Amino acid sequence: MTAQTATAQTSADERPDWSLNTDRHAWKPVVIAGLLFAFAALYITLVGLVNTFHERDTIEDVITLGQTMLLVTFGSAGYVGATRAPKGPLNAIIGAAVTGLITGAALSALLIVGPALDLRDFFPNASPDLYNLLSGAEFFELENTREMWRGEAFPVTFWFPSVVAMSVGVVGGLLTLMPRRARNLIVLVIGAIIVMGMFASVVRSPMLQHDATSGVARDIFSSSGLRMPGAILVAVSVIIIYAIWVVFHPRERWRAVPAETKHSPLLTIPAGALVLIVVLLLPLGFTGFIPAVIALIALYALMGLGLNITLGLAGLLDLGFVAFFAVGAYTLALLTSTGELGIAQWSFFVAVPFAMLAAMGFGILLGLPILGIRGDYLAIATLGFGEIIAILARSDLLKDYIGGPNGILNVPKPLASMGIEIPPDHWLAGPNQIYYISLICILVISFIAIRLRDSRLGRAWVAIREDEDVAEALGINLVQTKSLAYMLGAAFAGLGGAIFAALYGSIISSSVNLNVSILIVTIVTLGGMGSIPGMILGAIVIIGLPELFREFAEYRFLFYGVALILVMRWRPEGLLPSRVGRQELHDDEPALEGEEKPPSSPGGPGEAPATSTGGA
Amino acid sequence: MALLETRNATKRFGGLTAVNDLSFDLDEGAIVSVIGPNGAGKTTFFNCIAGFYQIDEGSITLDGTEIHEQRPDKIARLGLSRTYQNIRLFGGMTAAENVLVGEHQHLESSWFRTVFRSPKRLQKGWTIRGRHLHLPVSSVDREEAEARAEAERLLAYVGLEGTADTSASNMPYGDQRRLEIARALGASPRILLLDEPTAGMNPAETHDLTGLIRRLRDDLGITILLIEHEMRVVMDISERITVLDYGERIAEGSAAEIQSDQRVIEAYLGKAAAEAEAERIETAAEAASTPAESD
Repeated sequence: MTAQTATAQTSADERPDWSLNTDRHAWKPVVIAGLLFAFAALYITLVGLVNTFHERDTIEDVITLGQTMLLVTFGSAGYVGATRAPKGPLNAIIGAAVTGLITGAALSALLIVGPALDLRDFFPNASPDLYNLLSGAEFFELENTREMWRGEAFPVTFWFPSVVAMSVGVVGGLLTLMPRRARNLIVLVIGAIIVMGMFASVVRSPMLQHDATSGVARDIFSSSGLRMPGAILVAVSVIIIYAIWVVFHPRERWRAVPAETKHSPLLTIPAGALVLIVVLLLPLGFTGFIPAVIALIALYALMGLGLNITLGLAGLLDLGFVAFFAVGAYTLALLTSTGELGIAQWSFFVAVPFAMLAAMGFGILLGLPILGIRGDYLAIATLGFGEIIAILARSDLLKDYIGGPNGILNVPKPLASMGIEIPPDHWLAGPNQIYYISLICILVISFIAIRLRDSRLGRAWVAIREDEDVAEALGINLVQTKSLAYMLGAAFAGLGGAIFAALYGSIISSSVNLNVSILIVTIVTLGGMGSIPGMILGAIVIIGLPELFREFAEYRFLFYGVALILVMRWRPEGLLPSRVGRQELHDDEPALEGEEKPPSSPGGPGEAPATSTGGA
Repeated sequence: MALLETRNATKRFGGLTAVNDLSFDLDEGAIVSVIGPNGAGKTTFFNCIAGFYQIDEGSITLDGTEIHEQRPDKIARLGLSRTYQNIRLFGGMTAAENVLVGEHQHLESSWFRTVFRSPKRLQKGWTIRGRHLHLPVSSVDREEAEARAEAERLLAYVGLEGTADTSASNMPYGDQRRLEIARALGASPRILLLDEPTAGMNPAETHDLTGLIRRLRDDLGITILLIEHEMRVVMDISERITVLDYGERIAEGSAAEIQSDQRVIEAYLGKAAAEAEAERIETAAEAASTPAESD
């Protein structure tokens, strides 16, 4: 045994070593990976993810999203198995087959055990539908399925998931043996088809509105996914885009710490203009619920930016964000509502500054006594404030003023509150005006954040975040500096609440709950603390995806949890981190970056960077 | 009157008395070392002066102002700056930014003026047909530019020229110690507390740093109080030495006086060893040996 391992290690590098590693311990990681994926497969089936997605198509009449989900799990199992197997192509393929088989075997076991033990009592999703899907009952045209799933007959095709998983696993494992670019291309094509299939309805609905595109839309998309021509189109476009990318970017490896590269203005100006046009025209291309989703994304990005000052710059974990959100929302609703609880019927634009001031006032009131508390304790204290405000909002105590559970209704849209009537098909109708107002607010907050970040105050905030004691010993007044951050965060939370009330035309007590705080903290963490583009990306991922993709709604928090765990594990500084965040969490990398910098920075326009791809 | 005075200062942690009835004077313009075995209460003493800990009894005055009930930031504004035994830089910031944080108390720009200053590009302006059109330079930007220049000057002063934009966490150990001093200097202190400034340095670095400390006093007139374990440094630069053991002052005097003090030798070597050592010295009849060095 040991002799064989030795030869495996000493063999020539050029020729792949086809020998089989028979050392039992070398295979342990493979088995562990297999068990992990088996757990994942059981999890997604028993929680009902697969069932829910089985009702949607990736490609119509070819494969459903639920099936895709299982196949991707099998493929990933194989891929991971192959990378964890001992060196050599044969070992990799066997590793892939083993992990795939273990994953599939878990599902086979479910097919045998599930019906016999009436698992449905514990897992409502362990239904005949699920068993039919897993056992390939339709494919084999099985007849006695009903008896089988009641546990009265033996599930004859119990082996089906194992075989499929093993085959797909081997395919996944083969990916590891391919050249890097071919592998990337295959993964990208599959990924693009899945994403397009998921968002088919989102893309399809605006296309159907216009005569010019409606025909194409019918050919490409079905009502619940892609059609075959559409899938081919997506694949071809991805291949073309990837080819262009490879030609212009020889170093395409996605690094956690990208080297700072200066792009030529020839590229950045048109790209910037394009982004600007898309951002400005975005909601105009859609009808139905999508403009409201876009407005909501902008609103949450705005609040993310607000919390980003408190949490990202000053490092104060404020879990009571919803308190200020509520103060802003209720203030605006009281001042502008045309309903019975409205007290002033002011215009939105006059009321907003008051909503922000009220939130800011609460910020000072709540902030001063608790800002002496450090770290985690502060988070708990602010959490308490959020809850107090939420309870007050639905209490009988204030019911005569803010409506208790019924809330304040008839909050007019901003323009309507000024007496300007907008016809429903106008481009500023409904959520669109909220979107543009949020956009302007995002610009203003970003401007303030950028200006403060590189100032005396911004440095004091970062200093407090990094080491409170040292900051204080350097003459920084902790309470004053912290309360300023807290106050600004509160003001923007109030702004967010005000816009929220206007967006929905009401504010009711059930909108004021801990979830608002958690969502915004998640946006800031996921997007990248201290980074402005990060907040926007965070809002798109956290708010946009679940709203656009309704099947997600049920699994929203599962999705957040998984997303957060993955990001914290692989990219702790967030998806689009700030410079500081990157430096802090990748202390070992800048040296590497320094090595790579010189060749790329002096490169003139049009000159291809000299870095070889083989080195990556 | 001394610049910094402590009178009967006592600090207890539960049953442990870390600083016990300590009276201590630091004269303006002096370089004084505090030495003592591990756990003698030296760093606790520093933390009491800097306001990190509140003393339980006694008083501490800085230039006549009582500081023992003040917050650290107030004490810092009275002209007291410090470094730390285990380096505590702001790792995510650049070297210059660290020094700029040190300058914080001397900068005045309010957040409101910072947000609403005119764009830099407009302050720079354009020359159109021979006439230069621009907006007045904002006080915020002027202050920032001056503070930055001062930071670079201080970095150069401590021997870190050209490192302004290096991330503090990526600097070599010795440079980090120097950067901590530069950051403390950013506050333009009257008294600088250095907590083991040469810890972990090689002899050449130690020698350079000793020179720097002396220059801080000679050029800038800063009064220096340091904790140090490296006896060569202590004997070399301190004009007076205070020895602590179990939170109490057991000796005070010049380097020569301390070296021959029986209680100091006992504290460092233990009683039996000290007696043996004293015997050895007597028999060798060499008054100028350096027993305290062998810790």
